[in-house]
Amino acid sequence: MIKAINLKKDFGDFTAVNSINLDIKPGEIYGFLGPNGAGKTTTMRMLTGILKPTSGSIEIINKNLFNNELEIKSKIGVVPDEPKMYENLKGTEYVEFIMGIFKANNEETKNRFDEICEAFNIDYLNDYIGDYSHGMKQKLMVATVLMRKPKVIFLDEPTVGLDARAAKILKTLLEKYKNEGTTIFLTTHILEIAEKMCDRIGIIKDGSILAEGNMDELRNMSEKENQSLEDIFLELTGGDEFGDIIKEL
Amino acid sequence: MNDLFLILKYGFKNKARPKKKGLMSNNSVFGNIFGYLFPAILFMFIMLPFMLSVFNNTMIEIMPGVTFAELMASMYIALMSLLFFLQYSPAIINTLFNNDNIEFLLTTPVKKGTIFLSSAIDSFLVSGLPIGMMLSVIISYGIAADVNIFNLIISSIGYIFLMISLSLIAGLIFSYFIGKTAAKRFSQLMYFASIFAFVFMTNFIPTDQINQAQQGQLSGIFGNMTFLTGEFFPHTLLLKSMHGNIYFGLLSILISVLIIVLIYGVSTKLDFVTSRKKSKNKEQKIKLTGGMPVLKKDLRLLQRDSQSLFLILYPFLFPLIFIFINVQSMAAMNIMFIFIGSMYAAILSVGMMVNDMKIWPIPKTYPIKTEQIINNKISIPLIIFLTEYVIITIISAVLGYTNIIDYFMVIPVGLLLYYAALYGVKTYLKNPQRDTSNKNNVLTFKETIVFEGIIMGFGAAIFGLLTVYKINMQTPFLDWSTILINLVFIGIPILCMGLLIFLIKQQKEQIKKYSNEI
Repeated sequence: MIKAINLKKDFGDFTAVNSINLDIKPGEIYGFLGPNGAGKTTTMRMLTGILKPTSGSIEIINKNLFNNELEIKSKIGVVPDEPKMYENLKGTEYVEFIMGIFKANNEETKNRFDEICEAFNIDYLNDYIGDYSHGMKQKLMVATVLMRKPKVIFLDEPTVGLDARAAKILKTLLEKYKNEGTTIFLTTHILEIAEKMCDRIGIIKDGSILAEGNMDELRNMSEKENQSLEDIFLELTGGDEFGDIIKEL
Repeated sequence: MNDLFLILKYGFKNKARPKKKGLMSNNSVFGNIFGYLFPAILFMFIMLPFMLSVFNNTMIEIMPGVTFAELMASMYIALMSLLFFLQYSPAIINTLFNNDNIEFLLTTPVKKGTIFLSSAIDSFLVSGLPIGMMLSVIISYGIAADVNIFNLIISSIGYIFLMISLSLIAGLIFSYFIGKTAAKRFSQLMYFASIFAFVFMTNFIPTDQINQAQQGQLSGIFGNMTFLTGEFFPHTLLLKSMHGNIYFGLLSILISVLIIVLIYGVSTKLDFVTSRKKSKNKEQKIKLTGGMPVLKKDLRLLQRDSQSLFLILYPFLFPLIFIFINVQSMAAMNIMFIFIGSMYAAILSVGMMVNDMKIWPIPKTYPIKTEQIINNKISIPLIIFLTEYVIITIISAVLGYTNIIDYFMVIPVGLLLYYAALYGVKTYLKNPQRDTSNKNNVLTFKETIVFEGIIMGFGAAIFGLLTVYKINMQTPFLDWSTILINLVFIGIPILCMGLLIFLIKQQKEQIKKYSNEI
């Protein structure tokens, strides 16, 4: 469903993503983890057609992304790291715009959106988006993606800004969508979410994938036994030397 | 004081990313201050000689002890003071509550009074237009009335400080019960009102020397306006101070200082963070509307931006004011419309781009081409301004000011407007990290000069030559052969239009290049 071959992105002399290969199956939740600046968002931007890779190829829903860009974009959903929206539109107008642009202006999508609104407590759509808090925008952004039931969903830090109830509902909905065959690509810094939800996890650092697999496979790669994802992540990304720094502080 | 300077310095730095280093670069404090005050200074210097000639010609008594010049100066200063007051005080609230850094500043050990003052200074820089206009009136009246230069300077400073401090009091009071959106809209409305008022006034008053017969007429018309010279008005005290009673000027400065000190203390009790207002209507109706979602969205955002509304209305209303007041020639309309309309078409296209760039790269996840997003920003200003031009031409035709050549002018006007909208989009895409908070200043000084130079060049070559041709058609005065006349007065405009089409193609290629980089 999501396939990336030798994906590379250079910004001038700096290589943000270096020869990444991904093969994510239908109905799979793939967690993409890494420290700040590792290349997660750049990778996601390439996979969603926002950025053109320097080299390599991407296939989404078995089609080359850059030869079928608009068709693929209409079938995928993207929840970016920051829920930026047109601040001078009302929530209702934004939803109408999204429905129109994705050609999803039908009763089925509308009814699904109403149900998601009820679940997420979205009752502020008559107000201007400029007056929303970060969490309110994030809920609306998630709702406008989920209402379309896309075949592939990309989520960049989706639980940031969400209250506990909304985060729980989102996780449940993603599980439900996954069981119905939707492929989900997810980045998060909350390792418990990745550990519980993801079928497979990829850990990226300095633009390269250090490890990939399900929890058992990742544990096998580690030297110690019965490690949590947090321990594995820190072992791989070199964050476990923080003890000495804390002592110094 | 150090805190205040630091907030202002980094506030300006935060507005735009620098391209060049230096004292007057985009990012230096002085460069920024100059950039913001430039329209006010420009207006002041443009109006100064005009107002001077007006006051020189009207220094004649229309009532006992009251000259027509004094009455007009009173009217102008009162009006500009009112507009400044009504624009500046809500602008302070808008700057205060729309400041992205306010929550951060409140966590720092900086006094709330300092934050309020920084907001007041920041707002003043974008509200200076009525002050610039007012200064042109005060200075030109002072010169015409031959007042002492020292009195003129002290009185002007005192009066402006008094206006600022009175506006600060109002801003402080308003901040307790006016929302940021209402404050922003009101402030912008007053900004535009001051421009319209000034344009109207400068065309309404007589600029020629008043004779005895007119003196009697003016006494009749303006006789009941002499209440404006009443001693209880601050502007009257300003005029009296200029004429020798300097105590008013000194007293104004003293009062202003006291007010600022008082405000500094009181503003520490202000609650700067506003809570979100929630709509009472709970029913959320999503309409399953048809096509053109991008166009609908662009038009909605355009309609909700009061600055854009001004940009749209001004090029239309300005020539209309001229039609009904004193200029009754289509050639003058053309030139006026082209200079203002093309500039505003460029600014409008930038403003529309900003709406999408603020949420970039999210629009790139939509199943539409980037060209579609950009094309609307070019076609909407083009259609709006071209329609305005056609309406102006129709009105002129109804009033009998047009001839056959004027109807063909719609082609070069359309080309120039198209070029203008393309120029706006291209210039913005070339450097999207610019300060776009004040849409009248989205283009840099250099970009504006280059653009206006191109527009003026084409305007003069096309409309100038066609106008001469038109006049020669009506009353032949050129002793040239018909071939030569056609070659020069029709051939050169056609050549210019060809060149314009070439430049349009060039702009489109550059837009394509820059849009691939965003």
